[in-house]
Amino acid sequence: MTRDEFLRRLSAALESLPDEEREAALEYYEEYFADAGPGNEQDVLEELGSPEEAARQILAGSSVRDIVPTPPPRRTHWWWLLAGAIGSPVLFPLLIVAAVLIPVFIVIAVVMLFVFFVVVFALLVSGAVGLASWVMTLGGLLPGMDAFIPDGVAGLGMVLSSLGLGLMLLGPCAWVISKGFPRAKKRLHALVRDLRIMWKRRKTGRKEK
Amino acid sequence: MVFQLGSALLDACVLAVIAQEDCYGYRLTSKIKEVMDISESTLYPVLRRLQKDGLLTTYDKAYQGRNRRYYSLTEAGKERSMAYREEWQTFKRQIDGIMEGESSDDEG
Repeated sequence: MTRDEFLRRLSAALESLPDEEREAALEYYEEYFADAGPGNEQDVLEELGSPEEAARQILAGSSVRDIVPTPPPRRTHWWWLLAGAIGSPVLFPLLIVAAVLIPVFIVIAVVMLFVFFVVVFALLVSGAVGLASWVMTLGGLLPGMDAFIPDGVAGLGMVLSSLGLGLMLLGPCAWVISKGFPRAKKRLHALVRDLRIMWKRRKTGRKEK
Repeated sequence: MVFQLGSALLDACVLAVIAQEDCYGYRLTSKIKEVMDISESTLYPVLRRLQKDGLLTTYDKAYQGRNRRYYSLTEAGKERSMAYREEWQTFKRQIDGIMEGESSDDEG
């Protein structure tokens, strides 16, 4: 069993409760899973036992006199059917496209970042090595080395500009590593959560038929 | 634990934990589980009932981009918690008396 399955079965078992009550219970367990941490999902599931048993306890605890005289309003029922019928041909392909495109974009972004890092690294290394070799030979400008002065100067210029560009891009690199990665991680997290909630809404909406 | 515990004792413990500091579900469960052998799904109905009885109130706090529901005691909850504590002290003394064999003192 997974977390989502637990929540789904719990929701189904709590069907006789008013929507608000059921929602509160589901929120509690969602929060519980989140606080336990994603790594402990299986442990929590084991501890919690069957969702039907948890539901039974909730139903027993929610004093029946509160619930029986006011049966849950069921007017949402046809609305969800309609929303499902209209929404699904549009929403579903959209979801599929998003499910394919988002990972692709993420991969592309990661690859581009990687390339960027490599380029900066290469600029720095070639600049440093070039400069060192230029200093050692003085760009072939030493007397008796058959020097062509413009070549030597151009060599120095290339070496220095490569080094300079590398140093300049070091700043953005550091930013990406220190700030960009955590930020991207956060965003990704939020995105996954939103999608999950959307998916859950869809499911509970469908179940309402 | 060898001894069975009734729902009153569980209520008392829940109120006592929340009396110390406002608490959210997972943390509350962990704390109660330190002293009692309860299933993780036991607590939600208890919290819900205490809330309906007007002993607990909740408020939400954002935590890492999601919601966390904290439980805190109402005035009635504080009173009930104090009453439970006194009750527990009495009960504990009586049990101690029997266990340690000094029960005749009270009865004279």
